[in-house]
Amino acid sequence: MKNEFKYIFRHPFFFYFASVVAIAGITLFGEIIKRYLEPTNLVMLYLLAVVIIALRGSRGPAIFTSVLSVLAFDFFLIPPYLTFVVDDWEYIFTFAGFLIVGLVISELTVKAKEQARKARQLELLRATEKLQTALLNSMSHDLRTPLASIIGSISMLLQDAPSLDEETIKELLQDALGESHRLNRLVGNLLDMARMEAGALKLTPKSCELRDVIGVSLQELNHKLNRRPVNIQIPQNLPEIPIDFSWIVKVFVNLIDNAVKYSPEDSPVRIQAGTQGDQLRIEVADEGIGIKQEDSKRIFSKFYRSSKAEQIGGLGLGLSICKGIVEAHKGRIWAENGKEKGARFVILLPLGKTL
Amino acid sequence: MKENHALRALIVDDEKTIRRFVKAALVSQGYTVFEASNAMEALENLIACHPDVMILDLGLPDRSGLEVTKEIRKRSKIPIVILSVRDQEVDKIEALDAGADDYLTKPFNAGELLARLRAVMRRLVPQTETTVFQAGNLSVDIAQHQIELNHKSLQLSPTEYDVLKVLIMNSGKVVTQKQILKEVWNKTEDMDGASHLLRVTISNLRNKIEPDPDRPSYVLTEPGVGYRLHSED
Repeated sequence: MKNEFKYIFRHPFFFYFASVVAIAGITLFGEIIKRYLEPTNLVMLYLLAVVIIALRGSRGPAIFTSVLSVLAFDFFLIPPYLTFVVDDWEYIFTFAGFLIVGLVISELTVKAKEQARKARQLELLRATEKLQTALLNSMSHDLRTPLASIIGSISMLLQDAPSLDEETIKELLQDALGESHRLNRLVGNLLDMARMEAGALKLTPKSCELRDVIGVSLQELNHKLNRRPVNIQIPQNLPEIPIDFSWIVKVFVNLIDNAVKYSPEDSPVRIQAGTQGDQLRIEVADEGIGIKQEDSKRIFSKFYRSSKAEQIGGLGLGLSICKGIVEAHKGRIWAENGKEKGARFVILLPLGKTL
Repeated sequence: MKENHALRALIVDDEKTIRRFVKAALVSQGYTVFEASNAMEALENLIACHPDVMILDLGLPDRSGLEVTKEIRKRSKIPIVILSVRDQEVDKIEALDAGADDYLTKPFNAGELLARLRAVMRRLVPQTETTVFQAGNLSVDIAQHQIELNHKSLQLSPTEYDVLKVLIMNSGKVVTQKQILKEVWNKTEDMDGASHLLRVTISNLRNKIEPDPDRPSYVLTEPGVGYRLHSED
């Protein structure tokens, strides 16, 4: 029903029809009160109909309403009735004025409406442009910063290795390696996002142990975790889950990477799992800056960076990729704040044998 | 190469890995190095550590490097080398106009950084006795107002000479268009007309002094920023 109504509303003749109905209504009203009131007082009502039709519809129906108003006014409300003939010549001026005002109003209204529409479009375009610039800036910064460290460290080693002490050499090499991994993760996320956008996220689910998934994820982040305590609580008897191993690893790499990024250097990262009905519930929690209430949903949208996170590098892709992957597994992911401090990301994945 | 006897450098960048290799490069040249990861620390260390030179990243977490440059120039002439990434062009030029001495675009290698520092530090040494600039086959005696190319005297128009002189006074360092326009034409406005004049003058100058004007080896263009006189062989 609702759709049919919408269809009628969009029909090209809808506003012509509406115009006829409105003028018929006003004229009927005029018929009733013309005994008590000068008919010219009704002109304002007709003009109101012109304005409304011009605002809602377009130029054509508005002009049509202006002309029809004058005709109906003359035919029904000006003596002699039911003919276009007029006794009093004064009315000719009323009609002319009425018609001109009606046409001018419909033209002005339509123009004002078009201008408002153009302004809205322009604003939208500007917002998009602004977003794109911000995006390019952050990409340029985030891709170049690790590169700058890599090029700088390696060029230093090549140029003047003999003058450097052993510890400095080791530090420079570790920096170059660490930053290469960082760059690799960024590029990986960009590629994953491109794949997901192209609809090329193909899952090959197999039964896996969560313990294994977490182990591989931590392995990938090994160089970054350093001596950071990771507290893992996975029950022994946890059932296996049907998932695409490598994609789910990406989810945990991103979540653990975030946990490390947004919390103090020596604070622990906690990974906890258990069953909840016919689902597996996994939590990745940190003791860091936490998440603002209004950000808890938006952080999952592409390229969104929380204002709290501005100081910390990142493209704002990780969590949107996590969401895409988890949802492709028919699961759910959300963020909340920890009981005392920090952020907690919760994932629910169906335990069922089929996806 | 002059020995840097315990020169002190302050490195300001929020990325630890950048600070680390810049520090290694400077330490290898005998500098004593201090670090800061934000603008506040930078301004504190400027007072506490009395550095001789400052390497300043434009994108700091608390205040921009541009603001820091302006703040420092109110009270200190310490040489400042700016570090920037490509999307900070405008800030970079503003920082140079505000008094920063040179810039490096990330990523850069350790050798480039040291070359820039050498050029910046060279100008700290008062050059009263020597007024002859020598680079390759080009020799300019500022006191005598004489230019020689391949040991032959060379005539330059007064404007060409003035532009060359500004570049020599800042040799090795980038000079922004605005700075040259102010020094030579004393212009701060009418940028369009004046900058065209500057381009023409540079082109004429190159025709006279460059072995191959299409691929300049002395007067180098710094795209979007200005010019630099190449001073090292």
